[in-house]
Amino acid sequence: MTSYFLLLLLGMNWHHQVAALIRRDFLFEWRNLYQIGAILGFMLGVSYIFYFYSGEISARSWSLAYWVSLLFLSFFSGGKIFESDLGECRFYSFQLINPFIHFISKSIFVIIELYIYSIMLWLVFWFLLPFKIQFGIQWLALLFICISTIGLIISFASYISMSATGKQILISILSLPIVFPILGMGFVIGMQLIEPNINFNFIKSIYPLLGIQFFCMALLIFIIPLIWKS
Amino acid sequence: MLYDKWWKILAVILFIYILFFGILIPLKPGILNVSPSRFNAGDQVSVKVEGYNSFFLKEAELWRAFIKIDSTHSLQAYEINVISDTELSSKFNIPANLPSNLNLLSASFILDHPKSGAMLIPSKIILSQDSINLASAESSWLNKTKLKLHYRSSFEFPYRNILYETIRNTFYHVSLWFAMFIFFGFSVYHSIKFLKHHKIEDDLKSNALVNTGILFGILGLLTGSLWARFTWDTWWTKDIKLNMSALTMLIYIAYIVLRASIQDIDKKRRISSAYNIFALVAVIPLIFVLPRLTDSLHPGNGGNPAFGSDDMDNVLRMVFYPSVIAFTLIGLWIASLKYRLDYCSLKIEDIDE
Repeated sequence: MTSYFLLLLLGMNWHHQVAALIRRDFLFEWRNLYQIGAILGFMLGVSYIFYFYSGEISARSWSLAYWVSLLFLSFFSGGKIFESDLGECRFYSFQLINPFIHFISKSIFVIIELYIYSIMLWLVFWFLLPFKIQFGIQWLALLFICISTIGLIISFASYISMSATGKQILISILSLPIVFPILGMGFVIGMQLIEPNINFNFIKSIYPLLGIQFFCMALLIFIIPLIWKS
Repeated sequence: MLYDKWWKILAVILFIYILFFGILIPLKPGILNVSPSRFNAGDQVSVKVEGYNSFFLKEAELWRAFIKIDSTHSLQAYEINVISDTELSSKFNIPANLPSNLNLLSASFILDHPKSGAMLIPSKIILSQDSINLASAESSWLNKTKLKLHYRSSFEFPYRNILYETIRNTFYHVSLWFAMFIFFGFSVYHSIKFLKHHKIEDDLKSNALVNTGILFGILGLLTGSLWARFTWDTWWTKDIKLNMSALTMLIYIAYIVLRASIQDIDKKRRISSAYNIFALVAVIPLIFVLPRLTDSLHPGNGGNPAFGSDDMDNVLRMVFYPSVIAFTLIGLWIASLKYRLDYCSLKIEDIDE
C-alpha cells in the first residue's frame, strides 16, 4: 500500500490525469444538456412547491427545504457519475487508468458539480422564497464543506454500487445514513447564518464538519485501493 | 469435547447468573415523592415523604430530614412523624431569608438514618423569598456540622430517581450495545483478513458477525425504547445518541442490502468487506463523538458522566460486567452457528456444481 502511494505521488503525473478526467466528465455533462435542464427543472419545481404552499416561511423551514432539496440533488448527480464509464468508456476507465485516480477525479467532479448546483439552488430559492442570509461568505464556506463531504460519500457509494443491481436505490441506502448527520449540521449552522444568536461562532461550529470531512478522506484513501486490489 | 465448549457453558452460567441476580437483588431505599414541594421563606411547613423499599417504622425516632440548598447551606426538620414503613411527615421552620440573591431557589430533600443510610431527592423543593437579606440568611442556613449523613453498606442496587426498578435494564440494554460493538470490531478484523488473504472463511465469519451485531443492535434499540418509555415517558425522543444509534443500524442494514445486490460472488465479498471497514469507522464519530458535542439524555454524553459513581456502584458492576461477557459469548455462539450454516451451504453448492 505504501509503495503504491509513493508511486502515485512521486512517479506519475497523476494531477494531469485527474484534470483530464474531470474535463472529460464536464464535456460529457455539456453534451447531455438535457440532464442539467432536468436538474434545473427539479430545483424550480421544488422551490415553486414551497413558494406556493408554505405561506409565511420561517428560517427553520427555509433551511430545511434547502438542505432536503440539496440532498436529492446529490443523489441525482452522484448516482450517475459512473454510468458513462460502464458503457462506451469501459475499457478506457477500467483498464488504462489507475482506479484510484479514476475515483479521485469522479469525487472532485461531483463536488464541483454539486457546488454549482447548490449555488444555483440558492439563487432559485432567493428568487422564489426570498430569505436574507446574514453572512453570505460563511454560507458559501459552509456549503463547500458540507458538499465536499457529501460528494465524497456519494462517490464512494456510487463506486461500490457500480456492479450491483438497483444502483440508484442502493446509492441512497448506502449514503443516506452517513450523509444524515452532515446534512443535520449544515441545517443547524445554516439556520444560525440566517438568524444568528449572540453566542454563535461560525469557526467553532464547523470544526466537527471539518473533522468528519478529513476523516472521510483518510478512510477512503485507505479503503478504495482495497476494493479493486486482487 | 467439553474442552472446546467451555465458553458456551460459561455463557449459559453467566446468563443464568445475570437473570437471577439482576432481577432478585433489591433496590436500596429511596424517596419516591415529597409533597408539598414549594415553600415561601418564613413559612412553617409540614412535608409528607413517600418512601420506596423503605422501613420508616424501624427505629423511627432516629430519622432526620433536611432541605439542602448547597454543600454549606441546609435546614434540619424540627419534628418527624412516621406514619408507616413508606410514609412519614417532617416539619420545617423555613427562615425568613434564603442564602441567595435570587428570589427562587431549588433545593434537595434528604432523609437520613444510621441504619437505612441517606436518601435524597434532588432539586425537588422550590423555595421563594420576597426580600433578600444574605447576612440574616447565613446565620439561619449555615449548619454544615449537623449534616453528617450515613452510608448504607449493603448488597443492593442503587436507587435512582426516574429509573427506579428499570435500573436493571443496564444489564441488558447497555450490555447488548457493548456486545454489538465487539462483534462489529471482530467482523472488521475478519474483513481485513479477507482483503489480505482472500480466504472465503474470513468473509463468512465477518458476515456472520455483522448479522449478529445487527440483531443485538436491534435488541439494544428495543430495550432502549422500552426504557425510554418508563423513564422519559416516550418511546422515542430526539436525543442525539438514540438517533445516531438508529443511523448505525441503517448503515449496517445497508451492508446487508449491498451484499444482496451484487451478483458476482468475488466482487460481493471484496466490496462488502471494504464497506464493512468503512461502516465501523463511520459509526465511531456518530456514536462516540457527535453525542459528546451536544446535549444528550444518555450518561457519558453532553457532559454527563458515564460509569461514574453517579450511575454505577460496585453491586451493579458485579452483574453488569458478567452480563457484557455473557452477551458477547452468546452472540459469538450465534455467529458461529450462522458461519457454520453458511459454510455448509457453500460446500453443498460446490458439490452440486
